[in-house]
Amino acid sequence: MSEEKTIVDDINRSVYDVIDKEDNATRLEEGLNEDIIRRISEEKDDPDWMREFRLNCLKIYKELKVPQWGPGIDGLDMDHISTYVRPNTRMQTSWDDVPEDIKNTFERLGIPQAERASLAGVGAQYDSELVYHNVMKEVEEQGVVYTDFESALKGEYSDMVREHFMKLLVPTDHKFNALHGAVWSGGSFVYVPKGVKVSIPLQSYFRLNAKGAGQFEHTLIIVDEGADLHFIEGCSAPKYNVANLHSGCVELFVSKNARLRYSTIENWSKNMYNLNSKRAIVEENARMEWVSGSFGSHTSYLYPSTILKGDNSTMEYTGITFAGEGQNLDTGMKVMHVGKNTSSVVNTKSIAKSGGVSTTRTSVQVMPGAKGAKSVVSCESLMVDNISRSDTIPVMDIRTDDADIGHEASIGSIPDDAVFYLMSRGMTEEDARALIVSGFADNVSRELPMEYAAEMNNLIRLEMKGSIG
Amino acid sequence: MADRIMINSLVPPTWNRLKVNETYVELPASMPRGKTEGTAPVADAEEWKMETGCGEELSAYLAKSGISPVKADARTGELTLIKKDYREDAAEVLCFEAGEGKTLNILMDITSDEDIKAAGILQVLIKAEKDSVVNLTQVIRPGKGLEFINDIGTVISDKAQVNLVQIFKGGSNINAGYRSGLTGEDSYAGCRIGLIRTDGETLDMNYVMKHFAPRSKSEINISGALSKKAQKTFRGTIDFVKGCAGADGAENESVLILDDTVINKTVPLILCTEENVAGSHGASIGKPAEDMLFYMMSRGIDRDKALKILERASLEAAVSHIADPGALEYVMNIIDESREDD
Repeated sequence: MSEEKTIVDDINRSVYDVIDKEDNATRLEEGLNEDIIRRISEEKDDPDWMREFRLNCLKIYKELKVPQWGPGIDGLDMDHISTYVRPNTRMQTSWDDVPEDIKNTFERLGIPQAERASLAGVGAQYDSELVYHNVMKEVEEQGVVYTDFESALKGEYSDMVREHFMKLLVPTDHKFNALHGAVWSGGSFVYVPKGVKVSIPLQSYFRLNAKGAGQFEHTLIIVDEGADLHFIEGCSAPKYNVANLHSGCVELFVSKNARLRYSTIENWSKNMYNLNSKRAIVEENARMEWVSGSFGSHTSYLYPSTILKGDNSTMEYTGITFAGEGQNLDTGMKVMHVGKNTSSVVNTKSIAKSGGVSTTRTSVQVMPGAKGAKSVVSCESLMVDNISRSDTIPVMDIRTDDADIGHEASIGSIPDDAVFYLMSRGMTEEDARALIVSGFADNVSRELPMEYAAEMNNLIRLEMKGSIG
Repeated sequence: MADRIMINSLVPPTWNRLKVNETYVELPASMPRGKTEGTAPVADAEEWKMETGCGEELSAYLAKSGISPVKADARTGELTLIKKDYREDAAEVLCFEAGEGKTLNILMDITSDEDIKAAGILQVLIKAEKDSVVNLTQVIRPGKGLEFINDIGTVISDKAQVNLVQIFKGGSNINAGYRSGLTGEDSYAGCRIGLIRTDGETLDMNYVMKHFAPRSKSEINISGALSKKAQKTFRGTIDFVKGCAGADGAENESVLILDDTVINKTVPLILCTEENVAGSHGASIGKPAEDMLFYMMSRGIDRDKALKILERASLEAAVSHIADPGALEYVMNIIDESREDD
């Protein structure tokens, strides 16, 4: 039996770094051109409209420039990225039917165990396609739809998918939305009917095993009126010495009186360019909650955004970013207040260590007419040493008189007296500093289910290992 | 042929769609030199090259226009009053140097007639030597026809201080830059800014506190009020450079928004490559508290007058930090005059 991830004690990165032999049914050549887009479309048996959509996105991609305001992505060469890698299996609904090596990988990551213990449904994507998808019978009987994206595109919900697909994250927004539109593959579709409360979370886990490949899953969640859902997203990849790319899109529609919590623990390998886009639109009296932990990747651009469209809609964002050696993680959030009496609460924490660069980038926009808007943003940064970098770049754009906007940011180091106190109680300096950092991240871990909070603390301990001297 | 100059760049930039990364101004191909009494060319212009808040393109434009720096005659222990009344296009680079242990008190009053159409550029360069103090107060209250750029650069040595108080009232489009190079140990830079923008007036600001030295300290405090299609963009950057252990930087902004037609943008950056520092930012942006207005109205003050009182209070929050009694009296008189005009 291979090594498994345990709740707290395991601080062994090898769990994430195991590489499976590539035994792919299909791996398209590296690069990006019309022929590749057509072949992806053919592989996926796209409807005509989707093939045309992909080709149009390719045109937009070629026209748009790489963003100049964020971390450099010179190391990402699309001519050396394979945009589609299909594993040698079709999607299964039983773990027993998943090929042994892939199943072992997910077992090491604890996905089947988590499914049994605490999830209402699981989707597991391996490279470009889902290899496993299942949902609890009781949840299915409530009318909840949780399926792979390709099935949704062609099945009973195809009109709903077409109506919503890339309507929030439009391809012209930026170059990597256009790229996603051209090459997307895999991901999940979730529909929660009116009034249905899903009491235990659904989870999608994304694993990118193929060297020099990209993963472009699309997640579309529609929570209908008065419904309630917690969706968890996890991701990881083994480390290679060439660049990998993740450019997923997450579109969330939260209807009147509904609530959606979207939690992410991101632990990509440190050769990954994570250029991910997430956006939610929130209707009247509805609530959107983001919980985000960013630990992995070489370079990240990640800013979940929320449009508070409906009157009395609310948003809460809780996030932590941990940038270690060789990492440049540019994370944060955006919120736009449009409806009346909307509110947003944002609490971000970032940690920079061992030469890592952490940038917290936020924007709060209050549009004219968004009377009664309230927003509170707090950004805290912790510098663990003096070879790292931590920047905070917030923007507030306020265009109404009837708003109450607060923002606070602070930066500091691990207090020596706290380390001294813990050491005087018998802890090593390394453990003392790790404990203080875990405490700093407490705002996020408190918002996660216990197993995920434990994994996050585990990742912090892993990152803090060797932080002395 | 006009020159298009990029000023007030945000470093590092952020999302372009927010339109806060920089500002462009159109200036005549060349600007005539403004003249201030009691000034003389500096001996070596190279020695006065320093970074400013508006940035390199403005300094290059001034150099191209032949505007060489002049040194102002500011004496320790006296209030130096410089009145700049713009009647035509004019640009000037004024240098102030506070020698070791000296204190300079400088007051600048910037005005122009309402019917004058002109462009003005004032660049102020300050060197504060060891243990010196420079108290600079600027009242920037030009007429509607003056497009004005106010740009400041400072270099602050060991245990020296530069205290800036600025009042912005009137004018149409004002661009303001400020940069402190805190190169000395235990050096200090403070900015207290009061602003009122109304009737479509704009104010675009870029203030940078760059901490190079250990235990250097900086503060930026802004209080203001916006109404009637006014626009204000404030970029404030506290930059902790590696080696500035023990440095402390704080920014605070309180802006009253008095109607639904204004645009208020606030961009408070904290950049850090040093472990042992403390940086903080706080902002409070919104309408006046209803209970405060209710209280004032219950004392017989009508709502419009109550709002005027709050506007004035936002200026006084800055004015209260003027160190020199003569400068304080001068500025209070200006504020009182404008209250009577209202």
